[in-house]
Amino acid sequence: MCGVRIRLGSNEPLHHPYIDIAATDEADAVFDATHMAFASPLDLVGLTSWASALRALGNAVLLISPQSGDVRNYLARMNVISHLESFGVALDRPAPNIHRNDRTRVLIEVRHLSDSDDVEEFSQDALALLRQHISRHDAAVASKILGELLDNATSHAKSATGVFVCAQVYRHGHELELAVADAGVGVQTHLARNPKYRNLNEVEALEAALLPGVSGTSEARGNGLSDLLALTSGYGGKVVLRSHGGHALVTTVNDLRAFQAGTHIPGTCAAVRIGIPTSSPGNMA
Amino acid sequence: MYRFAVFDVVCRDVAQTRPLGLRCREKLEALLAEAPEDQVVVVSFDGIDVMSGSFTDEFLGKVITAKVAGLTGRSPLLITDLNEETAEEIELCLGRRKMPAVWVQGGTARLLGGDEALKETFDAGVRRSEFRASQLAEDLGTTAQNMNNRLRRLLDAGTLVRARHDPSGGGREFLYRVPEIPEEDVSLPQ
Repeated sequence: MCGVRIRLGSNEPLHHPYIDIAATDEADAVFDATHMAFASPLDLVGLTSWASALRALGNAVLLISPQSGDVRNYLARMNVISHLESFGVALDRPAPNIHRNDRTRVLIEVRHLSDSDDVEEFSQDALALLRQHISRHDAAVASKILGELLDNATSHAKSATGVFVCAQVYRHGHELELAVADAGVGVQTHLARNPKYRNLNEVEALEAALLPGVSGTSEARGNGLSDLLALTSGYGGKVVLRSHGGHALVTTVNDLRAFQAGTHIPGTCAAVRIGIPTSSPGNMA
Repeated sequence: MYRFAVFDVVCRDVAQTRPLGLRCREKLEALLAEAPEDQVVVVSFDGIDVMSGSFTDEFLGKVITAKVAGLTGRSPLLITDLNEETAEEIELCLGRRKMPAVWVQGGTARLLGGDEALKETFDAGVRRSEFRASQLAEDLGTTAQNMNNRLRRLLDAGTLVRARHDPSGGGREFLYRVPEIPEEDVSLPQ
């Protein structure tokens, strides 16, 4: 057997274009999280979507747990372990027993969305979370940002394993991250349905997707991601978008965009990180 | 008057996805098909706090586009009960499509979407309350033909109504006005 060992780095591994992959004979796919020290919502949904997609294809998939007890507990707390187990991903050690205190003011655990009703329900919960920390107007803006990501994932992606979403407020950094991942067709394949964009490679497709009016359909649409950038620009954050072998990082305050090739992942994952005021009730708690 | 309450379909204060927008559109289009030409259809967004661009485009963007194309009946259509965010979203969506819609709230009527020429025409019409094309053409310093074209676009989108008012000297003329929300309410089951 020749499988792949996907070594997840210590700090926000899916934010970086390159993820170390080596050959292994332990399983068809091994997600090695041994050295993971910090994972953001993007890492959580990205890992869950990636591993479940490989498993859904009939591969034997194994998760090597983080060395750090705190990070192991965090993965369990955020429902990553339970989702992976439900898809039949094997674990190198039993999931930890964790105490779940009420943290609805600062996080939404990884949730699996399989239809638009799930999306709308999650959007409602996300809006409630946002309203705890930012003004009503800003929460509406952030909710619209999330809506564009979710609509892309559920309308265009259509993956067998559905969509994974997650949100977390980081009080010390005064930031909030919303993340969405799917194992669908990817941005390049979606855009290629429109003859105008048939010849784009994976990186070019990401670049195009962030421009207004670019769509894989023949309809007059395709403003979702460019609207997302416009909405986010007032909040001093960043957007990470990766789809198959393409990786994009946009620093929204000055609209600095970096596109490059990266490690191939199934489908698409995206995260929006925005700053929240230090005077928010959540930060004063 | 026929009233369509978006919240009755969405059931939440957030509306995000195109499938939900499609559901709303199908129900509104059914209502528009049933409403007689002389009955105003009011679309209320009461209870909706947030709408994504995708939802708005799939719902209202496509309904108004179909209306202008003559595919969804000829009754006037008014939008009401918007907040700052939902108004902004509709303005953005309809502006991209160059499609207009009337927002009536607190006794005032505003045109959302369309383009600058339509907004200018609509505002001039609101100031006069009831008007002929020739009067508005003079007010705005444009030709009668140009004004007729603008009024046709506004009429097709359901943002104006008109009644025939032939002048005593012969010929054919119309009196235009912005529709209002009448007192009585006929809400069709959804």
